[in-house]
Amino acid sequence: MRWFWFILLTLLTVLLEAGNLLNLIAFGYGQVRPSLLLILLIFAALRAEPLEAVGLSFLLGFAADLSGAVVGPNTVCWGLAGSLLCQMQGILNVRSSIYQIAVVLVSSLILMAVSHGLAVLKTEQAGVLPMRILLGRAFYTAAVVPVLWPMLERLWPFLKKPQPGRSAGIRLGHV
Amino acid sequence: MAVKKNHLSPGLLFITLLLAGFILLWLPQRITCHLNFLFVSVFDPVLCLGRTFEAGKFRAAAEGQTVDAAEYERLWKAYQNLSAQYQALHREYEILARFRKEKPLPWAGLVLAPVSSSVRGLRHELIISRGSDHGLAPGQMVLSEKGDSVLGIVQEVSARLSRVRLLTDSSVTLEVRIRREGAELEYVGRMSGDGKTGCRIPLLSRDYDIREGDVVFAAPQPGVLETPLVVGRCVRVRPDEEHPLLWDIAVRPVEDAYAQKVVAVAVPALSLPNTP
Repeated sequence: MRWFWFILLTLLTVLLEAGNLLNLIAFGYGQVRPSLLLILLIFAALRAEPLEAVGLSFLLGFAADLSGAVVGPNTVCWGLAGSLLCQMQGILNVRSSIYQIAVVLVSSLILMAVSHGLAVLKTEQAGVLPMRILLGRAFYTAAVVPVLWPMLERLWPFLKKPQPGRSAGIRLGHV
Repeated sequence: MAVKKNHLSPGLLFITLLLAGFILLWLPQRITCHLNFLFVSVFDPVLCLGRTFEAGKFRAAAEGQTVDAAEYERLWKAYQNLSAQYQALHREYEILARFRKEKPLPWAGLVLAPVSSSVRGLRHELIISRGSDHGLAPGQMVLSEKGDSVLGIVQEVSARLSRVRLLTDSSVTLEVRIRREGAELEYVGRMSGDGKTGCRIPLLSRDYDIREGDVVFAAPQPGVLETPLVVGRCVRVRPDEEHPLLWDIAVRPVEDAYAQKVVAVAVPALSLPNTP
């Protein structure tokens, strides 16, 4: 993994997520916006080597925490989820758009709900999570997958160090 | 001489990072919030990009017999605040007429704070460019720039930045008073944000005569807010579906917090940095 470029990409994504530029494509009273970091997490965790996948999952989780209000919940949740997704590289067929959308949708729903619960536990503030916002955010994130996933596919060979005997972007199992 | 390569297994890295994550989660929010403030302060110019304001809100009032909507709102709030202050003063006068107050309350000062960025979604927040160096502390009231309506409450502070939880955030509750124009009777309740665009006031008996259009004020709190200040209007008053003997009151804030470029924070004069 070319970590410098990956961290730069993460930084750009975090700034988009934390800033107001994404409000241009937000909708509804809750200003529902897609989570670009989450798509990056799922994409990278399903592509990277196990060691790299673990590192980048926690890195992206920490970045998501920094862009929010509470530090900790996303680091733990995203780190766990990314490491788990990495172990499922051989099981999940993410070449089809439908599967990509399904994986992102399910992951978004689980991660957003659990990290919100952990944030409430940490801050000891009773805050409700409006179902409409949770569903809206998860579905919106899944909806932008057909646009973002191919872009990340094209970007991935530049982020990953070329290895002899392996084609760029696809990890082959040992024979 | 060959350098021995350090082999780190994925399992060991996972456990190490997971432990670090749990430590971050376990650390108190008052410590970890400084990381968020550091991020905002470093990338403030980028984060500000894209904040939009409704142009109509900053137009000057039209000359002549009529005023535009913004001027009307300003006058309406000033009138409501004056009425509430008059009532509070009247009650105080009645008390003072009987006995002398032991110690006057410290008069609150206002600290103007530019809005750095805003969060709207799961949380309703503003980040403002004033912090503990300027006398801000958690729990203080955040008002509109002119100081005539309440927008939210200071949640966390660093030296130069603060996080403001808006009234519409579902975790915010505020003691309020509901009063009708021209009426002397007022009702006390607790208002909480609905996580969308408004607020709710639950647990008020249907014996109370509350109607749509009644004005909601933030109740005075010693050291935080000295006089009642307008918060919003009751836009829907109907019986609670689960508890038919109680009202379900929806309140629309009088000010759009996200349209503010500058807000004012009510700071007790004693905690202002330049106070002698």
